[in-house]
Order: sequence, then structure tokens, then C-alpha cells
Amino acid sequence: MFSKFWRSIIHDKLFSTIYIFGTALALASTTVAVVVLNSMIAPVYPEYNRLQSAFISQIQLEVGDTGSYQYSMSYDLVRDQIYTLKNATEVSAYMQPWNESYITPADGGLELPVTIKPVDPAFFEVYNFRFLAGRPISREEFESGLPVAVIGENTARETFGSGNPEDYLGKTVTVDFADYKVVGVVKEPTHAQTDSYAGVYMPYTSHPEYNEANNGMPCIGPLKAVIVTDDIDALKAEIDDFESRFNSSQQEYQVHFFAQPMSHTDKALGRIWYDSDFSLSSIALAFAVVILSLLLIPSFNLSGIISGHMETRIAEMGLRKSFGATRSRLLREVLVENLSFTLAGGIIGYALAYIILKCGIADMFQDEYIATDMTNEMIFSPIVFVSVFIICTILNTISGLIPVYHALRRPIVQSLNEE
Amino acid sequence: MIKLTDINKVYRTKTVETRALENINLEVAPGEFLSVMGPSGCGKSTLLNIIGLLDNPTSGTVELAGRVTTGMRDKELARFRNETLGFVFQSFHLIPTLSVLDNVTVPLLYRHGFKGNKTELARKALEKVGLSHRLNHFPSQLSGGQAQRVAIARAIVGNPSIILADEPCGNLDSKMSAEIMGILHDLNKADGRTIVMVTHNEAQAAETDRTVHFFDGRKVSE
Repeated sequence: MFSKFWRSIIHDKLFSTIYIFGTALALASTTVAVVVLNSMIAPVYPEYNRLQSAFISQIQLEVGDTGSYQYSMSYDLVRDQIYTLKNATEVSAYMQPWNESYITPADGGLELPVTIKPVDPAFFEVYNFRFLAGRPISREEFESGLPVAVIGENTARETFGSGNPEDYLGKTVTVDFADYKVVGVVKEPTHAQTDSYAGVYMPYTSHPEYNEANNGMPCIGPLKAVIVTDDIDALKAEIDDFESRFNSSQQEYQVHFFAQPMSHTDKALGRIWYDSDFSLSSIALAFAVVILSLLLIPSFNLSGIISGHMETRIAEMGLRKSFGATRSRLLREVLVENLSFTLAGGIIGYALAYIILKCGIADMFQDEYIATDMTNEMIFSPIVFVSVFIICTILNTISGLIPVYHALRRPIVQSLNEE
Repeated sequence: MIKLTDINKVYRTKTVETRALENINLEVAPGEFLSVMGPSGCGKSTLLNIIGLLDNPTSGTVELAGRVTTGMRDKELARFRNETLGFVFQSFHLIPTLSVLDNVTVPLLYRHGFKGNKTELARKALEKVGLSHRLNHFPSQLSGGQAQRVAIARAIVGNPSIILADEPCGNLDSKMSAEIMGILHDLNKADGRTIVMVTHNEAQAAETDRTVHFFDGRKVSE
């Protein structure tokens, strides 16, 4: 099988090279798109609950005639309404500070920028972090507001120097002038996991701003929530119910959650929290159009190349027919033959996509929802493999069917005389 | 074995009508070696294509091995060709990307319900034409005579009762032509295969059981 494939390549090097590398380029771009999309919506470390996750990131508070404010949620709102949601199997609240933070070992050293995430203990239930050493933040530490921290492995190494994860336990780091004792070290997510990523996690109760009053205004504050639920519609109904009860209970403040809680998929695909008209199907359609364009253009090119190549094989087709091959049998044979070229292109394309993704060239795709720090888990996921194989088959069929069918329609005698 | 009745073949374009064969009646007995002669363009190859079911007559009936082939569907025709006919072409028509052995197995790939050992049959066919030492060579590594012997092995591997040879020695020198004619005569005499051969060569035609002459699409002498 392989030797036949190799002989076909050697026999017509130009055709084989153009075919395989043309396919590889088309598939590399398609694979990058599929991997990026997959990394945005499919369950990956530590966000294995993505398909059951819903988010409340911001709310709007209208204050009489004076205007409206868009903030995250206050601690009181989270404590009284969000943590108590009946249709949630797990709720975690966290802060996402806007400003860049800096970390140093407590005993001095180089100051490094770091992303921090003040969280509650449930954060480590919602996201399945792999603890390389130590443990999550405990309920007691959280309720007491103790300055403890779970630190990402890479951040720990950059801060303290290389060592075993156990070596970092019990050490103290200074983050934004406050000291935190390291109680756990986790395998650090990449920037692509925007919801869970941070270098340092600490109890939000240890953060000075977690319960800050906003000029006496209710509901708004610094907390966001991620909720694991089996029934997002029921969850939304609960939030809507609270919203209408709150708004009808007084006149001065009107709170709006708009489209929230919204699913991880909606959020990852660019839905904005106040966008009630978001249509997942239109996003899917847009993505399908992009993929189709990425495939159709090379398909037409390959179609032309195959057409030219088939011209050189007309006599062979005539010969095979004269010895009893039917048109359908030959069509199948040639398409399978082409598929081996397409798959070879697919493998090279996959490798190219890997290089593109690892080198960060895919930054061109980057926006606030897409980061391109791709892990091998994202690039080599079964869904990507299956998608690329299906794409290979579609590409092969689209590009090969018409020229091959056209070539096989010629009468046998005419085909034999082509040589 | 072969019976052609009132065969006409007309090629039509918008402006021109060319009569390639005109009222051809021909019978070839089982085991007969028939040669067809005539100048270029007289319809010899068209006749062979019609006997080989590679082309349809405009009118008339073709009967091969006791079966009237008129009205057969493409699939039936393909199967019938595969089981009954073997072709030898002037330009060999070997597939350049396949080895000698693989070229010879081609007809067996399309044999309906075939469960035998293709490689073994191909080996035997190649032995018969004296090429068992060239199994893994490629067509580009063969001389003209060797290539034609491979083509003959391919024609006989499926054990067809009729072999159609269109100027099988047309591209060969006299020594190689003699070798090929020897093989064809052997297939005819020893195996009893019916052979129809188109040729320009009077000497080769004279070696066959019977010769028919064509001129301007008509059979002029027998």
C-alpha cells in the first residue's frame, strides 16, 4: 500500500508535490481555526465543566434619574442571592482585578508582573485544578480572610527559582505589598483558559476591596460568578425572578442582569452580557462560512490540478475499463487514491498547524476571548483529529469528484487513443 | 464463437458523416486464428473495437460466445469483457506506476466474485510468455518485446476464450515480432483460444488460419 503510494509520488513529482502541499496549507489554516474554536468551547484543563458553566460577570444598576452604573456584583448580592441559587450545583465567586499585579518573594528579589485571582474555596471545585503540592484554600481560611495563596507552578518557579513543587509550600510571596503564605501549587492553566487562569489565587476575603461600599449603592461591587448548573434556563428564571422582585420592591434602584447567566459557549463566542439578541446559530453559520471558504478555494485549485493529472491517465482509465472495470469502481479507486494524497497533506497540514499555533502566529485571531497559548491537549484533542479527517475527506471529494467523473465519462476507445 | 451480422458504424458530426463499417457479416469459429488486413482508415480497428465491446455499432448485432451483446447495460458489458475477452494493443498500454506483476493482475481486480490467488495466476501467465524473471520490474525498464509479452500475459490471465490483438507487432522489430507471433500461435494452438488480430504485415497474416481484407469500411475479400 505504502509502496504504491510512494511510486505514485515518484511517478509524477510535480503533481504530488503541489497536491500534497496545497492540501497541507489549506488544512493547516482550517486546523488552526478548528483548534482555536475547540480550545474556546471544549472542556480543557482545568475547565472541564465548561459545558455546564454559566457566568455572571457584570450587572447594570440604574439609579433614579441620575444614570446607570455597570459593575460586577457586590459581596452582599453574591452572598444572599448567588450562593443560594437553587438550580446551581456549584457556585464560585471571584474578583478579576483590572490592574496588573506584581509578585516578589517575601525575602526580596525581582519584582515580576503576575495575574492574580481572588477566589473562594468553591473555585477549586468548579475548576478541576491538578495540585502538584499542598491543597486548595480552605473554607476556614476564606471565612477568616487569611492571607494564603495557591500558586501556579510556572509563577512559583519564576518567583522562587526552580525546585520541586513541595519546596514552594510554606514560603511567603508579596503580591501588591501584601504577604501571602503558599498553601498549594497547581499545574498552571494557560492564558487560553481566561476564566480560570491566574498565577496566584488567594481568598477574595483577604483582598481589601472585596466588600467595599459603592457610595451606598446596592448590588454592584467587584465580584463575578461562575455557576455550574444542569439547567441554565431554570437558573436564568431564578435570576430574573430576583431581578423583578428587587426592582418592584423599591423605586430608587433598578438592577438588570440582561442575558446573564450566560453559558460558557455563548461567552466564548463573543456574546456580551447585555446582548439579549445573541444568536448562536448565526455565529455557527459564520464559522461554517469561514471553514467552507478555507476549503473551497483550495478545492477549486486542487480540482484543476486533478483535472490536469487525470488527462495524463485517460488511457489508463480506458485500459482498465476494457478489462472490465466499471465507471463507479474506477471513480471509487481514484478517489481513494487521491485520499491517500489528501491524508498525507492532512498530516503535514496538522504539523504545520502545530507550528503555527505553538509559534503564536495565530495571534492574528486574538481578541479578548481568544488567547493562543495552546497546550498539546487542545491541539491533539480527538475532536480536532476527527474534524480534520472529515475535512480531508470533504476536500478530497469536492476537489476530485468532478474531474475524475468527467475523465471517466469518455468512451473507452477515445480514452485508449489518448496516449 | 464470434458472429457479426449486418454491422454498420457511422461517425457523425454536425456537418460530416463518416461510414467506418458497412454491412459487415463475419463469423469466427472457436479456436480459429483470424487476421484482419487493410490500409489505414479502412475500419479494421473499428471492427476490433466492436468485437471487443469497446464501441457500439450503429446497427447490427454482435454475438460472442453464444450471447447477443446488443442491449447489454454498461455493467453487464464490463463483466462480459472481463470474463470473455483479452486485449493486446499496439502500444502495450501498460500502467507505468505498476510493476509487471501488478500490471498483469489488473483484469483479476475487476473479476466478479474472484476468490483465487491473483499473484499466483499472474505469475503463471508471465511464465507462459517467458517473463517470470521480470515480475518486479516496471514498464519503463522493459524492452518493447518484453512490454508486449507483459500485455499478452495480462490478456490471458483471466482465461478469456477470445483474444483481440490490434497490431500487436506494430511497434516491434522483426525479431521481437516473431517472438510475439510465436506466443500468439501457441495460445491459439495449445490453449485453443480464438484470436482476432489486426495487422499490416502480410507474412504474419499468412501464418493465421484465415485472413479477411477490408477497404473503405467494407469486407472485400476472404
